Amino acid sequence: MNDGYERRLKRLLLPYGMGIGLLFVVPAILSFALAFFRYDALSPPRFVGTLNFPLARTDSLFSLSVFNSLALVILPAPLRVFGAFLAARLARGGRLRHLLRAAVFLPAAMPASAFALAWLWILNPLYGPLNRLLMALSLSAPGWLSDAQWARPAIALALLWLVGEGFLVCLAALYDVPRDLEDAAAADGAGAGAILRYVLLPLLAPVLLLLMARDAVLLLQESFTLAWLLSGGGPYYATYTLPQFIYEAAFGRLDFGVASAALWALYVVTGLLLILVYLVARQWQVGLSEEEFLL
Amino acid sequence: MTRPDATHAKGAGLKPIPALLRLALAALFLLPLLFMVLAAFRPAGSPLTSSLWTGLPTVENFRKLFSILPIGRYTLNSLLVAAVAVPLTVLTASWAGFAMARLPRPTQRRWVLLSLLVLMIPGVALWSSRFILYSRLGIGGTLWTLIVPAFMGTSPFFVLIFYRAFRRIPTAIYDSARLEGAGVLATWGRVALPMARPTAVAVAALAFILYWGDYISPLLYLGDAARYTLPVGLQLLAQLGRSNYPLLLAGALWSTLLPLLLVVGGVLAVAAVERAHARKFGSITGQSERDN
Amino acid sequence: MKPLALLLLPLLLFACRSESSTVSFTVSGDAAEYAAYETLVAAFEAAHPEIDVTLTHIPSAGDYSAKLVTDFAAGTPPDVSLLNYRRVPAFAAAGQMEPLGPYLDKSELIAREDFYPITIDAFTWQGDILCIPQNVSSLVVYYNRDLFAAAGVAEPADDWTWDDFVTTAVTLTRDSDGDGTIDQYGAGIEPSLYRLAPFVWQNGGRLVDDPANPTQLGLTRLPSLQALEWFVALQTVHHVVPDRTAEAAIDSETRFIQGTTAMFFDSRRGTPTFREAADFDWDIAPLPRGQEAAGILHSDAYCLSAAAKDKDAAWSLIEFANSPEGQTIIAGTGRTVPSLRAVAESDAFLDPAARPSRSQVFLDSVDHLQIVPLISTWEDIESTASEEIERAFYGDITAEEAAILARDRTEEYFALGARP
Repeated sequence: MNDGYERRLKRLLLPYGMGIGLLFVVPAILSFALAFFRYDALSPPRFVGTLNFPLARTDSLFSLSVFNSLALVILPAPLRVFGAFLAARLARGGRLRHLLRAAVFLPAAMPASAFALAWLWILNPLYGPLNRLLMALSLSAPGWLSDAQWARPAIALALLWLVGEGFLVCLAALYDVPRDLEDAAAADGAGAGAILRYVLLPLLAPVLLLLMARDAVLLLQESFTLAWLLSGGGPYYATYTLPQFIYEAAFGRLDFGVASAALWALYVVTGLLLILVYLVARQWQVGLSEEEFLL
Repeated sequence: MTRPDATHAKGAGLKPIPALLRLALAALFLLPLLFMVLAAFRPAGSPLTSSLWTGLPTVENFRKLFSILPIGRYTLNSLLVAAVAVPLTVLTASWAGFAMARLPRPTQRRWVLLSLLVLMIPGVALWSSRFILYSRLGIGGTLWTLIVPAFMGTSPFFVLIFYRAFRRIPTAIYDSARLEGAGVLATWGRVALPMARPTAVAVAALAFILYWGDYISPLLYLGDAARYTLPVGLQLLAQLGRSNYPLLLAGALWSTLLPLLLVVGGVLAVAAVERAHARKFGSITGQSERDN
Repeated sequence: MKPLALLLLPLLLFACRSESSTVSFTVSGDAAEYAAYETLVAAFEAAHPEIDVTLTHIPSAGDYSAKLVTDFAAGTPPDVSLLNYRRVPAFAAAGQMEPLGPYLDKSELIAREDFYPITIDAFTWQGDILCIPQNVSSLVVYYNRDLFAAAGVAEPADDWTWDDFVTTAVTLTRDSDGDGTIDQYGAGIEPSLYRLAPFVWQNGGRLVDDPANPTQLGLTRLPSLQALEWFVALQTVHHVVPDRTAEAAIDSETRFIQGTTAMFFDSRRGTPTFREAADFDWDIAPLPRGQEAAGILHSDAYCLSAAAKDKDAAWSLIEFANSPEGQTIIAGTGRTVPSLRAVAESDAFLDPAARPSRSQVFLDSVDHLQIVPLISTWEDIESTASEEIERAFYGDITAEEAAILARDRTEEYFALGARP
């Protein structure tokens, strides 16, 4: 490959590379650095050292928002990824697979605000379809979004419907699994469960792990959007998440310093995820191997 | 290339349980849409206490929707954003994916890793600084703030999808194109992209869904009400009356129509391709489906 | 020379055209309000063809507040914004508002004396009139006349009391099919500090320790606490308002519109909505009285941002909007109680053909109106206190616990807040 060709290739990468720099790296560094300043966006930033960190940490809403965010990531993420995987396994072949593919992907294709409105109705404590069903079954019908204990589970429940991206990735990954392997296992008398457990899961483990990390990042924002649209963070902060703390600190109280300090918590979480991704990528040579790039 | 699925499809007839499972799971995932439709066509004044389906469907809610808010305007804005951003995304993402697939291995790895890392940056980390950036660039408050990410392919995810598709095209094909004197752009446009057409269509569909449904960006970056997009319009609707479910869900359904058509169309297209392949080769290749 | 002149000609034309100035104008509110402002802007532009107004409308009040803050942050604030008097101090303390007193003094269209004095007071900060008040709205009771008639209950008198209100509300709260679920509520009120405030004043209490120099919330003191207890008892004891689940299922405003809530507390804001959506006969009554009569001002004003480029053009818009012509246009929507006496006392507001027929109630109550303390952190104080009031209202905690929590949780905001 000569240099000219390569240079022209790199020119094609230019918009992407510049975009990453301008829309991701620069803003990330900017918000990273602002944590050391008192900045209300009106007067010039004033260097305050690490003052913003204790300010954020001692705000009781901050720890609450971190807790809520973690709760809305740790519980739904594995469920979502595993659910997406199972749905993809089911949708890989056979009759009605097209219907299933359309159905699974549809909620993720809806605008978030439309999806939220549908759930606002589904979860309506007195007249919504869900509680009608529960009451018809003589089960107790919780107040869902209006009940501090049930608001988080309600949002986690709705999040289980938004698995479109993971579903696609799993479907693609499953297509890369040679069918010979499964056929051989089936010939050996392995049932569907055993094939899943001993053939597919080990093969797809790196993809699922990467997906889980990606899903955690997605969930940080998705759970906020949904909570914002469904319950506004309430009742009494039950669904108040870290992004909302940051949004309110920055755009509500003009406290960009504290908002950025709180962002650091996000970076720590994200950083841990990144290390995980890197280790997984190294371990399995995903994306680095000569063979297949799966994500 | 994966082995045929045909045996599997044949076997499904004998094994009704997976098909039933598929049906049940599909029904579960369709519930939000179902309740949306049921509520949207209810007579406007009918009390919520009555049964979920009141018998007489009306389009009254849709008429009201358009009379109390400039929903037509919002729809146009959303279409405008998508019309610019989607082709742009396909163009730049496929460029980047193509370049990454053709660059020497070490460079390739670096870019893949970089893309993976960027995918892990939470959106919330970028809100305020992007806001400041956009206003410094002089595009604050305009629809361009919604379109800007398209200049870089919208998301590393899309670039990686293209990268993956272009990697699967045998090197010999690229090499023969080069031997015939095709430059980088010509190889990309006349060889690579046509071979990855299903991928391009899939990325276009995903990008459309992303831009069409984006709620956060308009919330943060848009100014003038004349520029509001449909998701903001829905929020406006909810402000007018949080308990007027028939009206709210009529709006939700309206904004879901295009994504719905796209998903159904996409799946039908995959089904058609699968059938064509099955007739032709007696098998189904993984390629066409994976890209959808 | 000739070619040069030809070249210059378009430039000159361009220069002439660019003399028109642009004013950006941001408001929040529902679609009906937005339509009213579009009419206002159209009338203004007809009268001032040289000024071009770009109107921005933010759907919800919360988004509006955030939007304004970010716009100011980015150095691109709207030239003119419509702000409630509770929000202005936050912007004033940051020096973002251009005082409008000097402009008002020079105006030939409007004068300070044309306005109800309390509206001017509400927008006065450090001796300056900051914004020009658009309305003198206040909290009243909207009631469904049909439900009153059906139950044979007398309509609220101009001097009705807390006890009258509770008795009426109890009578109008019904479980008509006897299934144990209430089908019709006597009343609906948002559990917030803003709604509670007039009852505190009516009971001789105070919202804050010292209205002139507030340092903490005053809800824990006896007359205030009694008012809070009475307020909370509407739900916890009398059950005349929906409980949390019922309110979440259908909010009180919708219940009122649907005819399943007899009385609803709202400011003039409710009028255009009910005119359009309610298909029953309704009217308004003053707030029921406690120890004394008291009401709460709900006033918004047009403010000019200090960063506006063309302040004179922006002032022309504000002046026009607050001229009798401008206030008449906005009053035509039913949304405002005009702050100009002349317009308020005209048929533009007291239109006998339109509901509510007792619009005079708003004007009669102007004399007992009070304002919340002016402090730059009031929005935070109010929203934090309201969270605790809401918990007490729905029975999670007692009124006293709510008062203590509200006091303690808002202490920091009082410490941080700037005062006039």
